[in-house]
Amino acid sequence: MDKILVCVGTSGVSAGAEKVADNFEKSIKENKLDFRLVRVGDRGLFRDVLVDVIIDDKRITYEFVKPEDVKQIVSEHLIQNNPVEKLLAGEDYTNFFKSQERIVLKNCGEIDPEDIEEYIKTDGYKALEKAFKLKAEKIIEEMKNSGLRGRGGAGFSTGLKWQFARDAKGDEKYVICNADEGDPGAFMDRSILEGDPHAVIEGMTIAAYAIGATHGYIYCRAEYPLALKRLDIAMKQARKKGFLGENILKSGFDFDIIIKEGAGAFVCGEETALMASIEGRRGMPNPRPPFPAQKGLWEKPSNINNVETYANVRNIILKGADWFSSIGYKKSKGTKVFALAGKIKNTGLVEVPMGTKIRDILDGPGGGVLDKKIPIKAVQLGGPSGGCVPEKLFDTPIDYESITETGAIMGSGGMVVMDQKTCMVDVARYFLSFTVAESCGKCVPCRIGLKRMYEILETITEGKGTKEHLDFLSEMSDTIKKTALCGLGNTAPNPVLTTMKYYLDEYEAHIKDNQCPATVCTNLIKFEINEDKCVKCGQCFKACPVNAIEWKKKEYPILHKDKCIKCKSCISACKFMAIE
Amino acid sequence: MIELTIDGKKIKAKEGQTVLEAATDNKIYIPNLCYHPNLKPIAACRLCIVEIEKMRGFPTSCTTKVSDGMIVKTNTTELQKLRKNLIWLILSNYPKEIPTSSDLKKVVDYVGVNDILKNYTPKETNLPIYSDEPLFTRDLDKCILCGRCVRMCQEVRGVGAIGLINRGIDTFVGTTKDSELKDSGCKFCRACVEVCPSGALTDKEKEDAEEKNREEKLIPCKHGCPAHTDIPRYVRYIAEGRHSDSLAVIRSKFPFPYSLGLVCNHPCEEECSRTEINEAISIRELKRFVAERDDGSWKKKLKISKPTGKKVAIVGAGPSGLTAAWFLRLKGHDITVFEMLPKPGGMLKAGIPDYRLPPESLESEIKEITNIGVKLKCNKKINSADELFKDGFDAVYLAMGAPKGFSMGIEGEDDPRVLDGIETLRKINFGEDVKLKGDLGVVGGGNVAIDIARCSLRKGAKSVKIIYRRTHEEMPAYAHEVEDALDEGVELMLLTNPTRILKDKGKLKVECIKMELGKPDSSGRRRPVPIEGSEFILELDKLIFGIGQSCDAEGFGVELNKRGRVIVGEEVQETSQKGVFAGGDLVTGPQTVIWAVQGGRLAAISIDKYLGGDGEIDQILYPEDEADPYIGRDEGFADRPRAEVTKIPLKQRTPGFKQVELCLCEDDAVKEAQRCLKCQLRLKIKKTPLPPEKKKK
Repeated sequence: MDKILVCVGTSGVSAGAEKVADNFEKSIKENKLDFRLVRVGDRGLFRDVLVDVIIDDKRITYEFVKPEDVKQIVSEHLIQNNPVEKLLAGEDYTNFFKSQERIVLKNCGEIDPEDIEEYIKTDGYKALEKAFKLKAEKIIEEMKNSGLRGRGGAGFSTGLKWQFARDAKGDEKYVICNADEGDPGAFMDRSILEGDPHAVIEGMTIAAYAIGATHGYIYCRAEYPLALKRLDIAMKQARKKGFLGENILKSGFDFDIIIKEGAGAFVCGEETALMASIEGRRGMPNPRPPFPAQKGLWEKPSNINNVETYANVRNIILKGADWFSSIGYKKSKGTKVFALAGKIKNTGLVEVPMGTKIRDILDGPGGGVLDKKIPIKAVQLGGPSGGCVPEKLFDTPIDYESITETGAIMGSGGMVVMDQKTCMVDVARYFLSFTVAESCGKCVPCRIGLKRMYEILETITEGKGTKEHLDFLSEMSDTIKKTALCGLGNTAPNPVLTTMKYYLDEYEAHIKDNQCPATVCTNLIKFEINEDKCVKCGQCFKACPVNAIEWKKKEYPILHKDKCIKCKSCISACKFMAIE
Repeated sequence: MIELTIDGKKIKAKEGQTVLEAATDNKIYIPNLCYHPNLKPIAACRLCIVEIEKMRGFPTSCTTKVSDGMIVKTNTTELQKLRKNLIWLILSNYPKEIPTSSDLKKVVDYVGVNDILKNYTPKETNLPIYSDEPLFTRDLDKCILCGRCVRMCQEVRGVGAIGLINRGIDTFVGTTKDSELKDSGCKFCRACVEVCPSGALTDKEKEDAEEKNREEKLIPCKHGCPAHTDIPRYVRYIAEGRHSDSLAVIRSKFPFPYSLGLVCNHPCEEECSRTEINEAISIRELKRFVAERDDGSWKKKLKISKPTGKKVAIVGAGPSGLTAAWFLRLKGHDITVFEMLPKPGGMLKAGIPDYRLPPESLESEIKEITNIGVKLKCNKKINSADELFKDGFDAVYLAMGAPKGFSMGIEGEDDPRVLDGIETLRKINFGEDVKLKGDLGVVGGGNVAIDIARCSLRKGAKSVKIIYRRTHEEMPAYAHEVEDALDEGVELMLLTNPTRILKDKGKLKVECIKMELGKPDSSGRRRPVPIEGSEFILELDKLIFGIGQSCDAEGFGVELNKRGRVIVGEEVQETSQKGVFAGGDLVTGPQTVIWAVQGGRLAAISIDKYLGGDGEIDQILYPEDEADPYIGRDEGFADRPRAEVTKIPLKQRTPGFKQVELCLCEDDAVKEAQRCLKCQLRLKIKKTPLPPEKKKK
């Protein structure tokens, strides 16, 4: 049967996807057409509402579809088989997917996540069936051989983790899925849970079987209502079908999952804090050892992986470790999903093989810089605990080791593109403001140290910085890295350390020259027109909300400081960085 | 056993110990602030970081378990630097002066500070100081968030009245919704105060705190009792329903649990910490409660030492003499108590009316004393110690008390209708015929005056007036006794003093003068001053003096002070005459029963030592067990009121001498005991390892 796919993930829904889908349904009924409407998850690319019309296996994709466009698509395309030209997805859409290798995200945006049959059609639960025929040791062996490493950020071997949990003695063991995706801008876990929840359930069930657990938890943030709803539906369907619950697939193995909603503390993504939170305690990390595999949830051996890791499991079991390890690079196998954001043409979820160069991601799926006149300066990798990698290192392959070498971290896959209009001191200050707010407050270096660093960064961006402040930042970063209790604290100085490493000149400009080269730090902007850079285009004049800029065609603008309110609208508008 | 090396020193440690514990056991100090031996380590302060060969980074020694062959360094240059930076951080958030006696100060002095940001001054946080709540103060500015208090409250006590509120730099220790401690479930055990290293939690000290040692301050009830009875323990046993064990605890200290349960002035209750929250534990009533249900099981552990062959004579069978007799007999000595009156008991018998202390109860307690072999000789007045030595006694204990009533020395007081108070009381209590009909006046504001007044009503007096020269407030009698007297119909004539008895027939005419209060005298009370010309005549049938008593130890050849009391040594109860000891009211002047009992205890110690014993008189009659530190939550605990004692209705009180106050029922007694704050638990909290004291050069 011919199909219509409407992407109804969180981003689609917020752009009106449900209404679009409803209109299609109504219209198909009214016109008595032989089309099946499938509500699928997001594809990780922001194009408002995406709609696929598949007739005789020929797929036509529409983007930015509005509810009122449905009528036209139905009458012209569905009835007359004449695609609506003006709504067709453009080149960027095609390019975005062309250079990706989608394994984990394969089903996202392709199948109805609320219908288990659709998942089953993609060989769903075949891996589980296969796993039950294997010995637990063999599964773990396969996982180890695949080279899969934790996608939550730390990159520990998943197979080894399972091995430890299996080897640990305990009358009860737990499998936990970390779905507390907390990095600002990262949403790969949400997309997987919304678009392909069964893949996670299948992965967890295989893990449970391998380590000998009968209970699982998915710790998912409450701000993901759609993901929670779809998980719930998926679990109910899986139980009904015998993929979850008692005596799974008549193997005699029992396993079931409980969803635990997190209240949104970033630190609860840290595994020991996450477990404390499940137990109903305050979400604060605990020192390791003991590791969760020894003493985890309720002091029982526990295996904890993140969503993307579990979503990888079915393919490894089904297609084999060799297949998986053939993808990727050096010690980092398989693919990795990145959340591409910032000053880049295509923002969204990008899945590429490990080892892909940063530059290739930006130029490939990313489609290159947003505004060619303002070159890219750096990418920020790994979220608030990550670091800034400068343009000169864009040939760095994306793998755990190479990224760590730059001073950044893989993290959960945040990738924020920054252009020349980004002040690196301000970036460091911003990320510190995040970690200061999200520090749980337990250990001294993270609680107090980050706050002191933040204050100093604020002082520098205000133009009151001194050389001593830079020394302090280095010294305190070192102390926090070495002494903080958990990963949050250990990595929190990274944004400062990497920006100081690659952009010390910017820091010095703030301190010595009282200048913010990127014209971001208001206190350090003179609000003067640099006539060497100005092209007399008048954009600044148009942008100024208080008429502080005077401009006539083919003349340099004049900025009246007495009227200026330092809102920086002119600076945003100027593509030549001519206002300093 | 595990062998490891710390700072080049080979040490042995137990399996499962942490590096910090092993180091502490071997007198190697590793700086720490959030660690506490009673708590699970949380590794929050990070000061106890160490370097361990073959381990990455800087593991915290409080959480790292020892293993064989481990090589640990606790004080490398790198560690020193990191710790100094951490201290700098802690101080950067500590806007006040660190209290010199605090653990934090010691650690800061030991570790030192790295001045990584010159001239940095901590910002004013203006966090609140909670000083209006009972027993302790919370100064949040001084909190370093080590979390010891919170963990103590949750992990060890199971109360959870306080917790960490907010997160990150805004974290503070507080109560639910910032309510008062009592409304957050606090049971005021003050374990939190005990473990606070930074001066954020501090005890509110009483004015006399400086004179007391730690235990005296922490367990005020026990030390408020002259005999140092283990009140926390016996109250706890009642709370646990172990009433016999409770009585055994009391019995370890004196042989009059029931009598004291009825008449003790309970100085313990004045000290009770619970007073600061609402009302003191009703300790005396609890004592009465267990004494009343005495099943004799305390006797099982009672040990009477082998005969020593030494004979002790005790003069006076009052609470002091009998207490000494009891303990000395238990130490194996041969004891004879001489009493000049026909019955034993001293003031317990002669001075306390039957409605307060039923005679059969006192008799049964004295019976226990004679049961262990103490010989009692009544109607036998002893006039000198020498005659006793001649009779073969090795030591003599003088405990004749203060039985002589004072007279006022006013004109006409030799009138036969003017009576001596204590003498009258004795006659009533011994069942002698005393005529107390008509209108009576009792002079004095103390317990004797009140007792006479109440007895008179019971003997059929028409009216009884208490004539007292100061005001109600200054009356030394127990407040509840005065109230009872008033309830029963006794009248108070305050700021009044008799000046003479007129020689006149018919009614007894007593001239009184009105008084007013002047400046405070040496006792701190305002001195009563007569108002000139305010004299008036009071017509009575009898006037009784209840204004104080004196001792009578003339003839024993021992040194007396100006007031006729026997002088004894400061540490030993021995008099100026060798082998002659004294105690109780005879030494102190008229005092409470518990002080007399304590005098007897001290005498027993002195005499036992004098006779070659060790002076260890306390018997351990109760099971040796520790209180459970886990006290749990108990909603409404702080507001729970003190148990009310039921009294018989006024109509049933007079005439006759029925016991007025009834015993608490079991349910009430257990509930009352459960109100106890368990101050004693605090002493069981371990000490944290602190920096070695610097040797003075």
